[in-house]
Amino acid sequence: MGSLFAFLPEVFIFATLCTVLLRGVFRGQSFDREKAMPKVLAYSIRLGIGGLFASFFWYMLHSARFHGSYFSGFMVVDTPALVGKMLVLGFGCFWLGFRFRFCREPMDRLGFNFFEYPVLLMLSLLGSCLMLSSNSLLTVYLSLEMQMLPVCVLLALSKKNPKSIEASFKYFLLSTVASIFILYGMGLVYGSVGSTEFRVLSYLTQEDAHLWLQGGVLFILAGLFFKLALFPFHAWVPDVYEGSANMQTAFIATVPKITAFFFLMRLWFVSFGHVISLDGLFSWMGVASILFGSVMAMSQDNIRRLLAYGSIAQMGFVILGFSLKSFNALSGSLMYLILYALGVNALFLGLTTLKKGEEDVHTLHDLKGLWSKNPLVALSFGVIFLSFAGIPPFAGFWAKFYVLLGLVKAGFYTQAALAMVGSLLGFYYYLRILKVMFFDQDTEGTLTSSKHWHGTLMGVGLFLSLFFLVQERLMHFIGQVF
Amino acid sequence: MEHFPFIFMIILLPLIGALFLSFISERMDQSNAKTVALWCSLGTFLLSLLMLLFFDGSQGMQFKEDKSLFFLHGVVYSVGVDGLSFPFVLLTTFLVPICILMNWKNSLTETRLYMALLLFLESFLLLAFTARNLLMFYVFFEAILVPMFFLIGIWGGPGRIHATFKFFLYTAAGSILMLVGILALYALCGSFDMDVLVGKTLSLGAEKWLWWSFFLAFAVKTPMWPVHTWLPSAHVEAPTGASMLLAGVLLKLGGYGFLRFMLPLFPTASVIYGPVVFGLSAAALVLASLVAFGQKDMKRLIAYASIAHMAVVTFGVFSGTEHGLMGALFQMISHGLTSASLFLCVGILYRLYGTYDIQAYGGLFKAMPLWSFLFFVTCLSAIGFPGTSGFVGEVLVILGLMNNHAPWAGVVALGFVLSAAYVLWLCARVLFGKVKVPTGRDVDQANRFERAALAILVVGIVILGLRPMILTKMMEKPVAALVAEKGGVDG
Repeated sequence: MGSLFAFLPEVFIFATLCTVLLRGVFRGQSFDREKAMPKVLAYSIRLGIGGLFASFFWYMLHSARFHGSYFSGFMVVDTPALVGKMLVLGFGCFWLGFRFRFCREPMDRLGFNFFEYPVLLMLSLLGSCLMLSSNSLLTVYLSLEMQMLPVCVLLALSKKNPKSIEASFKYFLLSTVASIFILYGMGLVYGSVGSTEFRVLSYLTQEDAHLWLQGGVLFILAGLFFKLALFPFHAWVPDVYEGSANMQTAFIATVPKITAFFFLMRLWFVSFGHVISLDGLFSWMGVASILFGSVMAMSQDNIRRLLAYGSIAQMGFVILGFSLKSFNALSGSLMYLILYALGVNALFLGLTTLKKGEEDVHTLHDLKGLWSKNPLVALSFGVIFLSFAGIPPFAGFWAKFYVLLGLVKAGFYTQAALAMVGSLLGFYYYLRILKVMFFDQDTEGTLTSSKHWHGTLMGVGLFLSLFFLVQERLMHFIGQVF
Repeated sequence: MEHFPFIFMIILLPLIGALFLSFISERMDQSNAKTVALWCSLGTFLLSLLMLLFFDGSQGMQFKEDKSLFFLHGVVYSVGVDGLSFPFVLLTTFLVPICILMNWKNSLTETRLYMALLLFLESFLLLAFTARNLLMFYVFFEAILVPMFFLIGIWGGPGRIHATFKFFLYTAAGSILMLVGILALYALCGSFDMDVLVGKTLSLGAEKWLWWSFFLAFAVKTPMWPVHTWLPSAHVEAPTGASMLLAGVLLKLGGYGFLRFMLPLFPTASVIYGPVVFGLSAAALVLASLVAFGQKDMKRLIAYASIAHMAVVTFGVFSGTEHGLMGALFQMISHGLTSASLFLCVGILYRLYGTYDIQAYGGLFKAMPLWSFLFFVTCLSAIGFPGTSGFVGEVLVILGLMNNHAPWAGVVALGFVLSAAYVLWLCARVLFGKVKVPTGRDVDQANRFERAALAILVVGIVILGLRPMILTKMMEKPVAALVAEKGGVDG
């Protein structure tokens, strides 16, 4: 029973989602689907948010008490797990809350009018939480699947949009292949070591590193890099990001990456870091991602594709922090990831409030003249993009600074210089967006923007601008995570 | 009174004004926005004058402030002024009110944003000039690009998009490697603080690499040949106020960087690469002057003149003598005033008559006497005529070069002649002869505020020209310290 207490949040989420599911199924059947929907949705979302909030706060209050491993070593609760879960659940609350706001409007074109939406979201979050708490390769794989599959359905909820169906299908197919790689790698590792637990794997030394083990690790890494959207494994990102609706894109841009990051961290720092030396792989892959993402993003017209390639570049920076054995650099990576997640979510949130005529905002040119239409949104976007670009004094610069500091300290000067060159390319396409927003006029006059979410956007913008005041403290805090 | 946080105040005041203008003053009309901005910048200027009263030229860093808001990597808010940076602080706080004053009667679209951006720029500039911490300097060195990007992009001329992107990307490209260099310096020496770093010695190989990474950043900023091509387009397309600040202060960041960071941190490499810098400066001086000859557009001509004048600065910085360094410093201040004044003159013409084309103007001495007189005095300063501030800087640089590098002194003297040529030619065509203004316009006068702004600048030029001791007294000690460290450039 003690074990269940440690995983009370997961239990909570599961209970909530079952309730919502059952309610939706039963209520939906006895009434006319169209009429009953909003009420069901409202209830389910309230439940969902409640569940998530409860979990969130429970964590913050009770975290230290439950550290330790559970379920005979298959699950663990420690600081990284808790921090990861807080991040994931925090974003989850936000996504559900977003849905709630839009509940009253007819949005079945985007598939949000289904009660399944919160159910699937919570299922995926459950999978993410379990993955963060996993202490063995097997549980990681199971929760990885649990995280991935609901997302595929989520993406396909916009039944009438062919691009969404395409995105969902692509994501499903390619994610499955990646999971297969991971599973195979895990199998190889199990075959050479005899156990799947991280704790056992951490006892390995350099002598144990023979071909099967290395091959296994490489397969696992291949699958992981897919999830993280890094260079040779990036092909799914632009299409999936382009096809999905705004908030789904925000979801897949955030949660899988956070969980993959923590998994990689456990894999690397707990288990295999001292067995196999792959520093070069991480750093060059990071540089390649940065350069590739930046170069491809320069020619993009579609906002989502541009952000997709941009995120490949950002993840390149994140993985650069892994290439050094220091926790400082890792903290820099984590901070980068968090800032990126924050920015991306705010960005897509802002994009949902904009409409070009009747359609969503798709291309860069749809954003023309945003400054004259809605200065606050334009300003927030400006801050977020400048932060992504890494221009001082905004937050993104400090994140890049810490990652680069780690690189230079380890002596990887070439990689640092190339990373900065990629940054420079990033300046160009992020500034181009700013130019369209601020300098161009909306000649067609069809850009409309609603008043929702201004507070949130401004809040994020303010945070990113004033970040330099808190950056040291935050780094300290994040460092303690590890 | 010395412990009053002056620097914090002069940085905070424009920032408060900028934030107020950006967020709070939604329903403010134009003149109110300008009033707020003017009061903020005047207040800043008065504060810096107060600082001048308490400034003691015989000491090193004064008004030091170290607010340890940050613990981990030594990224402290660490500021102070000494004889090197104080003239630039004064220049910045002096120029910004003038930029605002000259716009008083003009109608600007989005005045609030314009003023807010100007004030942000001022704040960042002051932070960069007073930084005693390498990372802090870098942060604000890059941060000033953002307000400038918007200033040129929103209020600029027809080619402004191209110009502003070029400006931003070019300058950023120069600085990216500087970040790697700064981090490498931190990895080698353990701190970002200048006081600590100056005392450390580096291996020659490391010093050489670091010298180049820093040099690239400052060379693009100054600008030196061949990385100068962003300047003409940026200047031509920028609105007048932004041009004044760009030429007056932003360019000086490059020269300041050379003096403050490169010479103390990398003395040996500076000696070794001195001849390279001389070569590039000579190219800049001669080539820019020759190109200025062929310009039909007034603003472009003045932009190329700026490049040539900054070449004199780089000559002086790497000369390794007290005279040279003093000349470089003085030339930077003088050029700040001179080009601000030149751009203001040209800006007035543009507002009145709508074009920068030289051939469209003639005989303005008869049509606009006061403007012409002030313009002419400024041109004298651009030439380096004795009695104006332009003379002092150039002569000191030549003196400084004479000892060890006499041939280069000859090149600088040639620069004197060339600048006289194109400036006087510009004056001759525009000021003398038959009165001619662009077709469709009537002869008009500059308004009171523009004239006042111009007059203030010209008075400053003349005062500095007749009594340069005001400035040089401040600079003596740090310049001597710099030279002592270097031991002079050998042949």
